[in-house]
Amino acid sequence: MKLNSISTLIVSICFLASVHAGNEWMEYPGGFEYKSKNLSYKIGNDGTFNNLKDADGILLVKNVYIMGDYVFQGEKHDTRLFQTACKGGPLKVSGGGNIYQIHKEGYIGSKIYEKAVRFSENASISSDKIIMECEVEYLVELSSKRCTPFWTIINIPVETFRNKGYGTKEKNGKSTLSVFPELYSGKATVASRLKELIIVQGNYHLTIRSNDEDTFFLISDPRSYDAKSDVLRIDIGKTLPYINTPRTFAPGAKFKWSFEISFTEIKD
Amino acid sequence: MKKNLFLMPLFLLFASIGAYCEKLSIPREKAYQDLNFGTDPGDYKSFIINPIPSDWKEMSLDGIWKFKNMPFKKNSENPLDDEGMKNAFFKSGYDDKSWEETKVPWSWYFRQDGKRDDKLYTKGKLGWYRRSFDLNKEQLSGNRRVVLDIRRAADQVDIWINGQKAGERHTGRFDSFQYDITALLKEGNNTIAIRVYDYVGHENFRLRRAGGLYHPVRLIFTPSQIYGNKLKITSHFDKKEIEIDAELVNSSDKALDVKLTVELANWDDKKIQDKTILKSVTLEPGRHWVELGKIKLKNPVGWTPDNPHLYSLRLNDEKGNSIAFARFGFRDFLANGDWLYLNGEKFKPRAFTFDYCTQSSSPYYIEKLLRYMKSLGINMIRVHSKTGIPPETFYHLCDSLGIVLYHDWSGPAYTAAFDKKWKDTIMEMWPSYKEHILDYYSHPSICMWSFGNEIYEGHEGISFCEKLDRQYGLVKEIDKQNRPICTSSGRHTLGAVEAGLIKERTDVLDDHQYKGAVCGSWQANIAHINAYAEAALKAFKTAKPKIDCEYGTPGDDIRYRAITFSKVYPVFKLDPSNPEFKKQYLSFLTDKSAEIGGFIRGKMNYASPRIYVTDETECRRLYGEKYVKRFVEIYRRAGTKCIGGHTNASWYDLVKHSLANGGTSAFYGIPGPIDVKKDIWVSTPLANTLKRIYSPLLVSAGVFNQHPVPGAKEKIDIFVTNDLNESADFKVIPQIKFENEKPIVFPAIEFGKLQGMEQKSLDFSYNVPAATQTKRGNLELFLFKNGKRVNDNLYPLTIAAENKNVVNANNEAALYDSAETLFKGLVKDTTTRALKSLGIKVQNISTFDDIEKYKYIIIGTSSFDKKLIDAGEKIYNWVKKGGKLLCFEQNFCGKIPFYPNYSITAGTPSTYVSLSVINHPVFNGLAQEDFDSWAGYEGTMFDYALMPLNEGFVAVSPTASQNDIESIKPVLADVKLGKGEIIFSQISATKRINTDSVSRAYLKNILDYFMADGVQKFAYELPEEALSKPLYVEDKDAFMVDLRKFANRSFRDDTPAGDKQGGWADYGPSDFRDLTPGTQRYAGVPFNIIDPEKNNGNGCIVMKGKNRDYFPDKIKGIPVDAKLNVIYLLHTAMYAKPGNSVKYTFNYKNGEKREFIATTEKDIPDWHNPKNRQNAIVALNLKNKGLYLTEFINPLPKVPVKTIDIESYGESIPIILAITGKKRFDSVIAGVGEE
Repeated sequence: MKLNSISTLIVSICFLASVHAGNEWMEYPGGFEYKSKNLSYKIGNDGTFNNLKDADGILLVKNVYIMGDYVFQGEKHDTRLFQTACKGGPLKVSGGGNIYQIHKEGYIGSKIYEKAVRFSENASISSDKIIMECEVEYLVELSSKRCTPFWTIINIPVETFRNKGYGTKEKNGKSTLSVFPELYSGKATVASRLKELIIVQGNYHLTIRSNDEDTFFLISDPRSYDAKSDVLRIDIGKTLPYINTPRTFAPGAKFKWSFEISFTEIKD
Repeated sequence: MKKNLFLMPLFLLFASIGAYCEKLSIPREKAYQDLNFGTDPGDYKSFIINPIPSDWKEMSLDGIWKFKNMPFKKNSENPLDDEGMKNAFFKSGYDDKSWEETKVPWSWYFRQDGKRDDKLYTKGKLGWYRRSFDLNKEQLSGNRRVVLDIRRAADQVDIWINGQKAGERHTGRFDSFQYDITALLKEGNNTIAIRVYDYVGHENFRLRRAGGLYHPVRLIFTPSQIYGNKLKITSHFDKKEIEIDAELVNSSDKALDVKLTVELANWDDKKIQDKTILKSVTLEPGRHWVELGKIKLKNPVGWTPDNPHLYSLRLNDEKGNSIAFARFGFRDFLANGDWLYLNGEKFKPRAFTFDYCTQSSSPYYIEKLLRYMKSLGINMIRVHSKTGIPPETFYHLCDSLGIVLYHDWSGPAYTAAFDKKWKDTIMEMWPSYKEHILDYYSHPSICMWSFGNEIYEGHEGISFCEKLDRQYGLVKEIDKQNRPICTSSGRHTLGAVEAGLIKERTDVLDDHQYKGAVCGSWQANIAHINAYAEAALKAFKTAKPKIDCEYGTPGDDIRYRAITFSKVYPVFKLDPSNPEFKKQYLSFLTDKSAEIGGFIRGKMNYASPRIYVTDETECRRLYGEKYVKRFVEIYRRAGTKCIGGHTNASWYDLVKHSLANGGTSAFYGIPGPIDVKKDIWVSTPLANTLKRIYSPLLVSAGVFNQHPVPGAKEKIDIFVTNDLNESADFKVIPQIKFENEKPIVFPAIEFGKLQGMEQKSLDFSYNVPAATQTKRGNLELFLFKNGKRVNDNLYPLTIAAENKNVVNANNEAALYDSAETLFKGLVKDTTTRALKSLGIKVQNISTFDDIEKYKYIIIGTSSFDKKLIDAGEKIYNWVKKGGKLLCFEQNFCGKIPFYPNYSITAGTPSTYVSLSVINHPVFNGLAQEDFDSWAGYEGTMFDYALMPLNEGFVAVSPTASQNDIESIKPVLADVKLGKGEIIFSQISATKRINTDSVSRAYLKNILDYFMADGVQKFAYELPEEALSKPLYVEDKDAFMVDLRKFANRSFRDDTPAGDKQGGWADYGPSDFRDLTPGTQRYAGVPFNIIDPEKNNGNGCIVMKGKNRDYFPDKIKGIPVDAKLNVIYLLHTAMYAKPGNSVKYTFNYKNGEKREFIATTEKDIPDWHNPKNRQNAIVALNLKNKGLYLTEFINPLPKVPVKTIDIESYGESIPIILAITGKKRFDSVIAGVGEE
């Protein structure tokens, strides 16, 4: 209790004192609400982006958050690491008008490792675009079976996008047009090995694009394991070369990835 | 004056072009040319084997031997307990008169006349050979040693001389071996008996041709007690020195000193170049490898393909007697960075995979063939390991002709026969491989090693990489030449490299890939090469030479000719609109045999099989021009991304021989309907093409639009590839030559100076001429080096003119094109825009509410949206009443809502469409050749194909490798439905309408055909029952899942509803009691209906529903364990309400899962008043109560389904009666890629 009170005090002091190289960093412990002509959304104090809506109030993205996991030989526990359960300083925002810089740092942990990794999120947001750069630094030695130990999940609502057309561009340049299934089609992975996804929403394109060369980018249908799910899930990050044994990350090891979400008017 | 000056250069330019006009032409090739090979003298003594020095003598034991074939018993120990041993076949006096006679050398897997005989292929063989020979006193006098030299035998050999064992058993088919038999010989008549045991055998005609005494046998008489069997000569090119190691034998019983000198001479003129005292050595009795040191050479001449200079090296003792002798070339061959270097100069392979050079091939023809290959410009041959090892003759000829060999060892091809995996035997076989390397060490032609073809086990784990790495180290230890090693040809696939699975050391990367060959596109091939280069650099950090020793043709048609032709030729000659043609053609396309199905499917991506048999010469020209040439050009343009390419072809892809001799076409049957005189060797029509593309100086065009639109400005990348090690000035003159027109000659493109091994590309732009009629011709390119014409090239060019018929649909035609909104901003070329461009006016509709108003409806590209899916049944009924529906390219997978007999399916789209019904009006004015390699959009001709393949097809294309018997799918179908007609076109024409004149003409044709009155005769009327029987699964293809253990209810309920007694869903007599147990065929699919009387009263699985919550909600672990293409569910539902009813989960052997959620709307409707739904066909209707057949297309057909789980959503009551899978069959296509 005492610690929490002290933390709150420190946050308040930081809020008052924070200054960032010419741009003022404002602290938003209660989160930051963004609204432009085209888009509105809320960035939580944990750095997650939520309820991204268009000008008509149609929900385009339910949430955006970082996730990771590790393998553990000992006591059985939930080895998933979610940004939504992070601890750390407040959300920092600088800029004005429609253009802002977002900065969030924090720790993500589990039952065994209270602070498994430090993460930082730097986002540049403007009236029609979010450019996101994420970084995870290991604080303890952890192993992962995945080539993508940490990544970002973007949940888009089924309600908005069922039967909507979308285009994908794969890493190898191949383009495909398709339609989001109204009902679960039996295919858990809707598309994979992507570089870019463009969804047609009225007169706009909602585009999600990886900025990494070694992109990990797939769309899956959670209705494959949860019939009541109301989202289509996009996993986006960067992949490391495949090895057939778990990869160990020493304390200090860093893992970065970047992507962008844009919502642009379709021009003929 | 000023004006004249201005015109002068132009005048000169045209004058010079005019001068070229006379000369610049590329004559059409003759179909076949006599190669003047002459007739084989048939003298087997001309088998070329290791030479001996002049003061040694030899006696050939080749010729006729007595032979006894023995019953074979497979035993890895090979004990000497056979009848031959019991009856002492080895004894001198044994009476072998009754034995048959055989030639030696001869592989016992072939008939003595050289013809193929499948009966001779056995999985192992045991035989005894016997013969006698005479020796005189002189041959056995003094210190002479008599050595029995067996140049190779397969594979375990025991030898007796005059009844006494000559030594330990020799094991290994890859090396020569020797026995000193002096002590066993006598003056006069001697007997030799040889027992050969081939553990591996010869399982099919492709593999392992070596058997028995398949190489020469001779006696060598050496002048002294010390002699050498093998010499290792290593060139150190930069230091101008050679290093000598020798395997020396001291045949006395005491240590002997010998002072060795070395004598070096030119092989050809015997002129002695050097004599050097080497060293003195003391040799203990027995056999020893001795390092004899290095000697410097004065002005050595390097061995190169242009000048394959050979030396002889003789080791002498102090008395001048020859101790050992070898022939060698002074060269080194190394890998460094991206490149291979021969004698310090970059070497770029222009290579051929040499397959099917049999053990019985005559040296005469091997030499003719190798010389012919060289004349085509081929500078390297990969010896494909699958055929076993070529005869020794082959290596000696390559030495003397200057052909670089990439030597793929055969070891792995043999291990499969031991029922073991290569990874388990690689180190076991190392001694055999080591002996093989030592035996072949000094051949200058052998420049690279590979441990075998396509060793993929390493992908499974790192342990195998370690073994390969160990073998790499061992080879490097014995190969002082440091020849590059590729750990396995074809092992280093893009996937493996990307995934970091190649852990072992390897000097060279080799990837086998056939994109564009059997399916896929040429553009994908280029993308593959580019991606590979990037992935390899990332994976290995340093550049390595990358070659691809298999691409292109997986072998010529002749392999299958005799069987294939006799069956397909009569059918392909039929009129394509003859139903019999379609019926037979369909059966060919899905045939499981290599000879029919494999052949037809394998041909599909480059030339219509139909054309092949009806106009074979033309097909061969297409084959050569497009298929082999494309691959070679793509690889040669790849620069350092892939420095060497090997077409995977057989030697009879280059030459044909009409009679049985030399191991060519005779093994595969007579040639097809070609007019080739007997007993001559002829070139294929590829000859000139091959010369063109294998020339070190190549001019080529990148993949470009070969069907431009009149008036457009087209750009083509022109490449000049200088694969000589010298610089020169280059220019290219392009011209376009249409049939019956004067050529259009363009100004020269000056490439300037290109350094050795340099490549350059420049743009060539031209304005496409107008065409009132379709023009066909070629883009021709002429290459000049330092002003002299050195090569040319040509590419077909078509400017298709669209037909001028006016399509006037008035208000009777409607277009539904939702792509305009569905993919707004993502597609440019929609059907709306295409029709506008063609000047065709139709009504645009956005719903199907008023379709009765229209006679014609066009579904635009990419328009399968919810509205259309929901209106499926309405559209279906509209067609049945006489409507005409044209559906363009859809990017959708699943049942076609308005005609659920058809689905749209994904696969690997291809670069070629076979116009199966070539006289269909939609192809008016167009040719088969026009439907090949369209430019743009990854080069594929379609994105999604149709299924199933039934008589409705008009054009088809492959969507997978020919090993998959379901790989061929329709991409254009024309069917009659009731009084109406439906045309589906999945050929990607719409998006190319503004750039590709063939696409445009095709679209105009199809609209013209569609808008004609009434149903056309080309529309195939599927049988009426096909509407309810869209499929037919043959009994042999059906895999019926056994549900007996899981059935919980009978079909009848004789007790009151809801009493939890009786059967069915506990609704009293409202049940399915009339169902007949046993194997029943419903909707074309056989199902096993359980007999409740034989299964504890239970015949079906009834699951939990809202009104019957006492039935199970889950059934887990129904065993399957089979590879299935499609799974058919026979089920129904009671109290069905909209929504999910039941979930089928398919658990695969590899741990993956796939789910199929059946909804009451689409898949499992209510049993009362049964009606077809999108994915539910009424399989049985008994008193207005129905069972439904629902189809689940297995997304992982190559992985066995292990079990099925079923789960009810608890609302409606699902009842499952039977599950049947359609088995997946992979036909074994011998000769195509991997087995």
